[in-house]
This record gives sequence, C-alpha cells and structure tokens, in this order.
Amino acid sequence: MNLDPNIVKILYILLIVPFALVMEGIRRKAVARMQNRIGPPITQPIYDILKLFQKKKSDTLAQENSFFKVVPFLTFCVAFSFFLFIPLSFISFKHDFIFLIYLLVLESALFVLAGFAGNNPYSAIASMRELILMVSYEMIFTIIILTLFVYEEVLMVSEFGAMFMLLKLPIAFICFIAVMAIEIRITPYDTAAAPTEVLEGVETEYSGKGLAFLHISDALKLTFFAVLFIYFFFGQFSLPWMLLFVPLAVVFFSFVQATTGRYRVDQTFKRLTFFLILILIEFVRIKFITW
Amino acid sequence: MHDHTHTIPVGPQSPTMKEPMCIRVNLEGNYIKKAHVRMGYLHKGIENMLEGKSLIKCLYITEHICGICSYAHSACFTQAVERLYKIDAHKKAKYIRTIVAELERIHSHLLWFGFAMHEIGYDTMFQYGMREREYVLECFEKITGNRVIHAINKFGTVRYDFDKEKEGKFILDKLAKIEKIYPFYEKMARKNSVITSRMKEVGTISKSMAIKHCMVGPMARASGIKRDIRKDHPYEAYSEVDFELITETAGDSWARTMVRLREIVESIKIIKQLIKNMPEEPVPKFTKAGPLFMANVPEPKKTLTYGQVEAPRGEDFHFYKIEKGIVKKARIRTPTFQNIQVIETLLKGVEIGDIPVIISSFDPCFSCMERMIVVKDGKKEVLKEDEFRSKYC
Amino acid sequence: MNMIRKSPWVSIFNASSCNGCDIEVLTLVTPKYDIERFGAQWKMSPRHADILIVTGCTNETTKKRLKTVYDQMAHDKVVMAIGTCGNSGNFWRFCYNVKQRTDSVVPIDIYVPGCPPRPETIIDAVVKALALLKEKKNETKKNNKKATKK
Repeated sequence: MNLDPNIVKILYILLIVPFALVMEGIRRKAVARMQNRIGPPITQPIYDILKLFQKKKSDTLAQENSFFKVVPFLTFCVAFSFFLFIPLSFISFKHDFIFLIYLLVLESALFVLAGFAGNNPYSAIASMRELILMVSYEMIFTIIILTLFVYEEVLMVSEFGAMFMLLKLPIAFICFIAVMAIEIRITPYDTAAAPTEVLEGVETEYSGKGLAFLHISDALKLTFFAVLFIYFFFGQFSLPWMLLFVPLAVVFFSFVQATTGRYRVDQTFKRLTFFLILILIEFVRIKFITW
Repeated sequence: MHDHTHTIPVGPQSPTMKEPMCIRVNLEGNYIKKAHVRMGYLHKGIENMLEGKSLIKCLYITEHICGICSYAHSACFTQAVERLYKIDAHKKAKYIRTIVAELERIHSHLLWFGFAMHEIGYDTMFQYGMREREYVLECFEKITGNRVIHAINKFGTVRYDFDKEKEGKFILDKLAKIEKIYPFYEKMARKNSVITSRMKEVGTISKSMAIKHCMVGPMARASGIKRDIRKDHPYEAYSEVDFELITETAGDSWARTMVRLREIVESIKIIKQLIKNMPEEPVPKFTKAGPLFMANVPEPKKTLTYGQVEAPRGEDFHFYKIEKGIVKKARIRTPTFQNIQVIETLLKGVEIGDIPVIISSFDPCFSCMERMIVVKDGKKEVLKEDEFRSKYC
Repeated sequence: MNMIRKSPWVSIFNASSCNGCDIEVLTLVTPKYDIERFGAQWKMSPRHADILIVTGCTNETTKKRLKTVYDQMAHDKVVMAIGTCGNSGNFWRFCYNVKQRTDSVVPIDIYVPGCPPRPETIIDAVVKALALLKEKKNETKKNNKKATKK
C-alpha cells in the first residue's frame, strides 16, 4: 500500500499528541502493574486531557500575570516541535545536534518560567530546584550527545547511523538514563516535581486548559525521550518498528520509576557530578580506546 | 539589612502530613532557619465532653479519639475503670484484648512504613506495605467485626468470643503471609541506597535529648532508651508472654524505621503465643457489673484512677476522676503529645526536602494529640502552673 | 462527549476527623481497592480536583480553611462528606469547638454514612458523584446557553 507522502505527513502531525498520551497511559499502567494494582486503562490520559479542556479555570491571583496564561501553551508548542525534528525519512529537516539541545533547553526553561508565573511558594521552589539541576544535567546531556556524534564523526542528526551504540558507549548509555530521569521527571531524580515535598510542583496553581497543555507537553517529552533512547542507543529503525519499540522503552522507564525512590536535591546534585565525571572520561576514552 | 529569608507554610493542607498541622518554615536558600509549629486544626474538646457523661458513653467516646490507635484509647479507659472498681477481667478476655492490641500495632507500623516510603517517593514499597496491611484488617474484621474502629472492649470482658479453630487459624494464616514477606522489607530498609541515604543521619535525636523531652515509644527506643509499658508495667496478658524489647542506638529516622519494622515480628511472636495458650472456656457475656454498668457494683472510696497502655506510638496515659459512675474530670496524654515537642529544634538547619522524612519518622497522630487550647475573648491566655491548676483542674 | 465521567480527580480534606475515615479513603489507592482503574487520581492541589472528600466534623479552626479550599476548586465540583461525623457531626456536635455541621460551611452533594464507611461504600459514592458531575455539567451548559440568548 502506497500512501501519498503528504497524507502521511498530515496523519503524522495529527496523531502525535494522541500517541504521546497513550505512551503516558502505558507508563501509568505499567507502574500500576508493577505495584500490584490493576491501574487505569492506557487511554486514560486522553480522557484526562479532554476533561481538562472541558473544565473551567479556578480563580487565582496569578491570573493577572500574562505569563501564567501564555507559558503553558508555549511549552506545548516547543514540546510539539520536538517531533518535527525526529529524523524519520519522510518528515525531517536537516539540522545538527546543537539544534536538538537548544530545543530541549528551551522546553526546560519554559517549564521553569511556568512555575515562577504560578505565584505560589511551592511552584517557586519546584522551579528553583529545576533551575539548580538544569545547570548540571544540561551539561551532561550535551556531552552525551557530543560523545555520540564525535564517535560517529557526523554532524547532522539525520546522518547518524549506528546500530547498538549501547555496547560501544556503555557509560554514555547509563548517563543518558540518569539525565532522562530528570528530564521526564520520574524517580530517582524527580526532585523538581516531588509530590510529597512541593505538592504538585510547577503545576500547583494551574487548572483547566493551562494544566492540560502542561500535561500534554510532559507526555510529549516522555515519548520524545523514548524515541531518542532507541534512536541513539539501539538503532535507526523505520516508523513501523519505532511504533513497536517506543512502548517498550516506555515500559523500561516505568520499571526505573517503580523500583527506585527519590533522592534529595543535594544528593541528586552529587550524583550528577559523578555522572559528569563519568561522561567526561567516556568522551576522552573514545579518542584512544574503542571497541 | 535586607533579610534574605522567606517564609513558606508547610501544611495544613499538604501531602507531607495526612492530618492538618501547619509548620511555618523560615527558609534561607534551601535550608530552614527557623520552624514554627501551629496547631489546633483538630481540636474538638474531647476531655471537656467526657466530663459529666456516664461510663458506657465515655467508652464509646474514647474509642473515637483516634482512628488508628482506637483500641489503645478504649483499653486505657477500660483499664482505668477496672482499676477503680476492682474488676478483674476474665482471663480469656485479657488474651483477646492483647491480640487486638498487637494486631493494631502491626497495622499501625505497616501503615507508617508505607507512608514513610511514600514520603521519599518509593511508591512501590508504599503499595506493598498497604497490601500487607490489608491482611491485618481482615483479621480485625474476623475478630471484632469492624475494620478500623474495633469496639471490642467491655468492662471486665469483651464483646465477641474467640474460637481457637476458627479465628485463631485464620489469624495465623494471615500472619504467616506477613512473616513470609517481612525479610524483604528488612533487606530493603538495610540495603536500598535511596532509603539509607534519605533516612540515615536525618533528624537525629541523641539519648540525652530523648530523655530531656520525655520521649516515649518507638521514638525513645530508637534513641536507645528501654522504655515500654508492656515490660515496665505489664497489663492484660503481657506478663504471660515472652517477647524482646527492641532498641536501636542511632536515633535517626532510619533507626526509627528499623525499630518499627522489627516490632512487627515481635508482635507476630506475641500473637502466636497467645493463640497457643488461649483458655478454652467461652468469654462471659457480662461480668458482675451487669449490662448496665453501675447496677450492682459497690461504690469505691477512691475517685481518682488512671489507665496506662503501650499504644503503637508509645505510652498512652488516661487520668480520670470518677464519682458515682460519672466521669468528673478527664485528662488524656497521648504519645504524640510527648514526642512532638522536639520538632522545632529538630527542623532547624535541615534541607527542605527532609521535612517530610523527619515528620513522618515521628509517626505523628494529631487527632490523638490536640487536647487543649485556652482561648478567652479571642485572646491567648498565659498561665502559671499553679494558676492553671486552680482554674482548670 | 462528557469526559468528566472517565477521569474524576479526588482531593481529600481532613476537617478535624479522627483518622478513621482518612485511612479508609487512603485504602482506595492501594492494591486491594485500586480506584485508579476507574481513572480516578489522588491530587494534592485542590485546584486540580473534581471531587472533594471531606472527613470529620468541621471545627472552628478548619471552617475557614474548608471554605478556601472549596473556593479554589474549579467548576464543576462535587463535595462528599465521608463518615458519620461529616454527615451529622456525630457526638462531636456537643463539643465546645464544634459549632456547626459541615453542610452549613460548604454545600455537600453526597453523604456517605458509616463510622468509618467501608471502602466499597466510598467507591460506590465516587461512582454516584460521577453521575452528579455529569448532571451539573449539563446544567451549567444550559445556563450558559440561556445567558447567551438573552
């Protein structure tokens, strides 16, 4: 069956958000199963989002702040644009890895801004924690990506073509999992969104549409990291294979989430420093020793 | 000088505390400079209400002081009344009471363990703890017919009989399940890097500090003080069973975890012994006091009496003045009331992420604790000790 | 389509209760009576919640706080009073610090009796609350239409 490439592109753009939400549903379901519960149906996040769009907003003092209204939508836009830069054959711009890093930092920065706009001490603390961690993890993430591309000696993301990188760069793989845990806010490093310490974190003051956009961008980020995880460390598969492997990666993430607790901010920071040293060693190593 | 601190309220509506209490923390960066505890969200005035009520009514009210240690409070009141009227409870009734008390301890400790894990983000352990707790609740349902508020006590006896073959076997079955999984919990608490790094050397209470603040229960035992009413002043059937008094020396949150976890095993040990040695004859429906308590009991000369039991959180102490079957004066001192005093000192200088860990390691039960506020015309009133006694006691 | 039936978010409010009801509500998120299978989630912030569960008799200190939390919730909302204390005040209504019943502070839609009610009862109440939420939603829609016509 040969579809018109334009139709495929339109379908792809339309189905990104539902697909990401189903991935979030799979994560919740998998965590629930690991905790001996039945868990929600995997389409649950879609219901949640639709409900949030139907709900009214609650009155907060923060509403006077224009950032409060705009930032969730901006976060969603940036998170959505991740998927326009996934190097799949039919929808890809030519861009280098620096652009990828730039997008991820932008999303995190907007998330921090969303917290400060919330006008709530708890979301301010959550944002502050995210900022503190950003200093560290963005650097590690940059060096991981740098290691990968230096190893492959390419510059463009779409030119990256190596199978089973995790065997060649095992330390980078471990560091990637740690950074990913912070980025998609799962334990052990979800200090920025710790529900018992800072309530709902950045989202505390949001309700209705704003909350829906924040939730969607969370789900998009989760899916995006699942794609990156496979693309960089396992292999560059075509779209149908990706549809199979991405849920598996999400199940792996939920396994990480279910089997760990949460570290404190300073402990997280200490461990990140350790990872930074590790990845630097890896970066230097590929120059001399390879297998 | 510009002040570089900012104040945030932790609670009252906060996931850190399942019950409302407000701690205003003064933050300097990420560290707490000063903590101020504000309470009164749960104060209803139980002691005042107990006054002037008949003993049967008071038994019902004391049961509802707290939902988690409901048995301990009613046992305390029953003990006080039995002490005053010199009623010796039936031996089997004593055994059944002890079983319920120990089951309550297991239930409370498992609940606490789940919460402590939830506070550090370990949701899987939380769910597992709650899964095991459900077995204990099933046991409660079998013995007392209720999951949470048990209402098993009567003066001199208990409400339901206990069959060794039926209930005894059922309880042993369920406890075996908990016993089977227990080593996994202990291993996790000892080895897991998240648990040890979050809990060790957090909220340390030294032995001298614990003595100074008159701490009770697992909190004191974790600091190395051998204090347990079950050993010091045996009541019910505790003098007939053999169990170990568990102490740790570190005094931090982790030591408290270990004390509580290890106490679960001791409780299971006690229940096994009790079921094995359970008397055969059925529990009497009424003692000489009769169904309506006051009918045929001689009025004692004394009026003051007290009850003292080891609740899951520590020593529970009730003091009553009873005249002609009416409670004239009541004073309830719960374990959390003793333990919570240290919290402001303890929170000083810690990281904000440690607040949930420290507070949950206290196993606070505020609904037990909030006994009294003195407010007159909307103003606070400060009284000296003797003034206070002459006015309010 | 009305999605509120599929994802009720629950927030719990302790209005000087004795813990008994709280631990029974807590049981709902645990393996035996997992309510997440109906899509319900336990939310810390009342702004996210659709259903507010109130336990206990409301005393003088919590009265104001309960009102604030109720106002913070976004429309449409349902309030459930769990346990005898929440419904009628139980014997606490004779206490000096408890001057009113919970339903005189906030409007209560569903009363769940029991001391404490069994988890099954609370699940049943949550299901009933969903039907009520749907009704409320339709009502507000009608009112909005009327308002726009005028």
